[in-house]
Amino acid sequence: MAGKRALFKEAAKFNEKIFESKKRMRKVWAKRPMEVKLRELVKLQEITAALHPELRRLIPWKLSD
Amino acid sequence: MMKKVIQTLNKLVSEGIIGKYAIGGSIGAMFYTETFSTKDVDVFVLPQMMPSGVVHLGAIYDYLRKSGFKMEGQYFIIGGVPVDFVAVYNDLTLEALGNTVELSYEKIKVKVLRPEYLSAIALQTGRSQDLKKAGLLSAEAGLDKELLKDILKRHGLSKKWREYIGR
Repeated sequence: MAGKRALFKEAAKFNEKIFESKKRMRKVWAKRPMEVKLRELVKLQEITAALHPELRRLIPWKLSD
Repeated sequence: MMKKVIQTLNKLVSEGIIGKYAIGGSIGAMFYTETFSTKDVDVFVLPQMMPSGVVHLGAIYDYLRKSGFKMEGQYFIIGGVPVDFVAVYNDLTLEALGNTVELSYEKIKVKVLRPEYLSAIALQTGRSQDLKKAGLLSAEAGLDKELLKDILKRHGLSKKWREYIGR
């Protein structure tokens, strides 16, 4: 039982580290130029449409050339 | 293609069709946050008031139609991007349009709503996607807390903000 508790504690610490690193990355992304963010948005939309062709009509636009 | 939208908006101003504009909504927020999904560009404008008191966006519509842009539902399609013109609809949005920030996109100047106003408008609108936007702005946009507090207080949103933060 004590072993499990120690394991959970380790896992919680690990989760916290991941969360912190994600938070840092989000802040880094927030500071990127809008041109880069919009390219990323288009890429995400294209991936979504490729995985779910039925959603293509819901993604009617592209923000970059 | 976003470049075409901004060029068109700046032309609407230089040709005197509108006095001011500012990009708001999700694309406005994205100038300050990470990328997130959205389907259109919301542009806040100060419309002309008719003697009858009716808000009039007709000058924008006429100009864009004559320039060859097509409408799909409520959107004008500019460079392939659906653009939604939103006439300022209350004191908060009117004040927001009077306090915009000038940013740059592909070396073109573009007016964007301040993140503090984007947060307040999102909170006032209050749909789940708006609250998500307010959350992203709060976490990532480096909001001026004093300014936000002042805006929320003057527009009766302080309680709503406390409830939102307390969730």
